[in-house]
Amino acid sequence: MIRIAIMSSVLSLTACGHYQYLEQDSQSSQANNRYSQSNVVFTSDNSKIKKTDKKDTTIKAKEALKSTSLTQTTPELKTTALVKTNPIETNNKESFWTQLVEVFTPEKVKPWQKSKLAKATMKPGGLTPGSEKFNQKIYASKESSRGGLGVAGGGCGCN
Amino acid sequence: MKKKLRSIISASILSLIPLSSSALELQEQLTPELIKTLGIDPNKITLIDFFASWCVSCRIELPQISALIPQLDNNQFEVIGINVDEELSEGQEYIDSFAQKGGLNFRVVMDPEQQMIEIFEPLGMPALYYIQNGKIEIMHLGAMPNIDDVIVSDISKLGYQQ
Repeated sequence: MIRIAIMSSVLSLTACGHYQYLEQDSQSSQANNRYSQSNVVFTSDNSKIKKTDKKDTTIKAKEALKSTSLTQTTPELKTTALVKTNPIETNNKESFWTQLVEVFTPEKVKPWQKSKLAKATMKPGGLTPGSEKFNQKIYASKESSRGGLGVAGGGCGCN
Repeated sequence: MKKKLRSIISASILSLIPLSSSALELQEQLTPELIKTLGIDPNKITLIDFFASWCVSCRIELPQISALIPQLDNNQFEVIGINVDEELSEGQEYIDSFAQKGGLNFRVVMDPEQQMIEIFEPLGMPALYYIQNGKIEIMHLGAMPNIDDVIVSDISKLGYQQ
């Protein structure tokens, strides 16, 4: 039993090593082929290389190198064949809920629409000057500071 | 069916939203309709002044502008005041209140519907726009101290000859 176990473990290790070797080889061939002009097709599909045998890949690589024109000294990388670009989907359409929120959001008061807001009745204290003074006194006693309660420019929205 | 209903509801809601027009900025051309409505002379430098009765800064600036006009050449420079009070009577009362100080020496257009100011869309009031050849050359938004001096320097930049 022990023998069988040892044998199986050794076999599995060798198999793993062989697979790694194959993978490394395929990667190196892939790297070589990437710089060849016409043979980008070989390297574009990684899965094919992994499945094929070591010998097959080297032969294919050699054939590919032969088929390339010798006059071209500077290799160019054909990125279009190597990388598959997925089109970015942009959805500029507003959703139904966004539109609904926009409808129910109160419209901003524009500077020329502040006639009612500028009136004395719109003050927190109202028309009664006593109540405003009373409010200010409470505010000053709570905050230990005074001032900064008025609005500059008479409510015209200029400051 | 649900999708159809949704699209119908959203379309009906969208139709309720008013189309917002963009504000007029510097170097933008006024439309011929607007020039015609306001009676802008293309041969003059025109100052459009938006004011309202509730605007405290306008109350300070208007007498200063009014006092400046007799000192300037009417053939070169013109001021058009646009009152944007929502109530016509309120605006009229406000203009009449300047009678004690000599009144307003320029033409005033009443805009209770606020159609004119919605075309310009100023960020603050009072709003001053200098128009030359139908184009906005200079604009001042908000209160400005010594507005008469500011106007003199502005129109000299625009080619006003004294």
